[in-house]
Amino acid sequence: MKTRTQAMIRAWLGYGLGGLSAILLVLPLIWVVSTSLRPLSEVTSTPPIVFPRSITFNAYVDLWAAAPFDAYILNSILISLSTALIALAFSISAAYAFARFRFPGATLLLMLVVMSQMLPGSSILIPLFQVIRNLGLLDSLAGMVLIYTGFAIPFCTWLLNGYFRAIPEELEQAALIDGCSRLQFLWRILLPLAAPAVVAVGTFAFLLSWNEFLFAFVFTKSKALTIPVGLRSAFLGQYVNKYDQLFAASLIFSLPPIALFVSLQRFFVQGLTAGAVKE
Amino acid sequence: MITSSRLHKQLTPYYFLLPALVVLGVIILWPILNNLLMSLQKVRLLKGGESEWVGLANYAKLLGSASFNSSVGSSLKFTFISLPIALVLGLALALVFNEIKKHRPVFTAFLLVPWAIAPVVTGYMWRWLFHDSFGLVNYFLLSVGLIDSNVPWLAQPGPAMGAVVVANVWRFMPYITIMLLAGLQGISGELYEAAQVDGANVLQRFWNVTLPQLRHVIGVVFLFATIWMVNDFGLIFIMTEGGPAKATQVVPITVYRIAFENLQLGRGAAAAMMLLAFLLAVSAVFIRVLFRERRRGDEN
Repeated sequence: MKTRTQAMIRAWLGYGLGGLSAILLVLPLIWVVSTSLRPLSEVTSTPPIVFPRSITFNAYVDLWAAAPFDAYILNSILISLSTALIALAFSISAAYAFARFRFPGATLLLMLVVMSQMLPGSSILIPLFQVIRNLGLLDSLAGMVLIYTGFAIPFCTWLLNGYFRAIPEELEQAALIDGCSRLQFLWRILLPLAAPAVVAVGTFAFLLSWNEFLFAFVFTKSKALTIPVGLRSAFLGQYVNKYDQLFAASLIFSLPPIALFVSLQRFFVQGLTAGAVKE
Repeated sequence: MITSSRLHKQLTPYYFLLPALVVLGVIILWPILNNLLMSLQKVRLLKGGESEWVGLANYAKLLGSASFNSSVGSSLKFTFISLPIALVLGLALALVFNEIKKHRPVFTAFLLVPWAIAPVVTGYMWRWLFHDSFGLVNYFLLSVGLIDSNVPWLAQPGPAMGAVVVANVWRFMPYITIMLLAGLQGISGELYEAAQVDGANVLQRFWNVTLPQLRHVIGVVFLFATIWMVNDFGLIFIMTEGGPAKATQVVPITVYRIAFENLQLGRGAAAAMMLLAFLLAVSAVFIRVLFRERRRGDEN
């Protein structure tokens, strides 16, 4: 009897404290949402007006006129989608080689790939600038796609490699005997089987480029500006700080990542914790 | 003798690897090597200017300069104040969420939000919350009486560091919670039952069962969080641009400023090299400790 009441209390305490901390955690975001839905005059008053007096969607309409924000969005979409597709194609191919062949240098190469996952972006910023400049790709969509693809490939290859290895090799031998080529096998059998990993990896590459700031900030000037860099020049100025529009734009920009994360949360949690937790 | 078809067969894996390796070579390997070479040179940008080998002079200049040393200090403060706070809060949250058996994904979905949004958005958000006259932080602190007038958070060195640490903790705590939650689920119930039979109370069970069993996950979290925090550029840059008076100018921002504002590419490369070396050393130590733990764990 005593243990049942105890268990009940524990459960209620869990839900209560869990709910409370979840709300506290998103409270800053709620304030941002509220800022974006009110007239600028109301959000820039001292002391702040905590509960909205008037609600307006003006910021969400006006932000399109304020700046070349549509151009930034288009750049972000083009860069992130291209990165996702190219990184996916290259990593699938590389992961297939690591998972299915024995060849001299395999272990060393895989180790190098895994290690480069941890490479800090700022530590190669300067020579990378020269590489991109020498390729004539400064301030270009192609240059940004190239950089992000390089930074996405290690994690993508590593995760896909693990997934491919778990798929029985007999399947491949049977297919090859039936006259299937390696590429046909990869495309028709292996990829459909590894679909969850492919989706997770593609999303990873997309989000990496979507959210990235440092390289976009240093390597783009006008033509290839993405949203993370464009926000400042668009909405924060010397004379007027359009906080309502800044946050309306930030929220529009944050919708794809939040939607992807929440709908694919199982994969992310798996991907994040893989290897870290003892089996 | 190798026939051409056999050679072709032996080369097959390399064909599959080629596209990825070319990109990695251009974007990662070549820049790393080049960065090492640049750090030993005085690089001239102007046309016709030749770079000149200077040995370790760039490193010596940096280590002797007050501003570089202060940026190392800022990086260490930023990382090693944020990390313990995020770890303790993340662990507390994981213990709470572990009690939630039904509908846990609904709760963890909230956790993923700070982790999902771009560091830039997090930066603008906290800059706005810490705004001296329109911000919610000052409003809250004033109304509960902790301060008597608005604090210009981002305009004073100490408070600015505090503000970026708060934002950083907010961003990283969810990751830590998710990792520790997975770790908690891996602990077998038998251990708790055995401890209970031995008469251990809740605190003793936490101290003697939960914490030791989480050691490995905590180690991994510590390593990854250290790497991410030391490398942060976007969040701090958006909130303070490294100011005021360089108080929050961490090493990555310093690398950027030396190279792209002062145009001292060689010296910037040397600063980047030291950052890389520091992170490699941290990783090496952690990986050794973790593997030794694991081996010992297997023997038991």
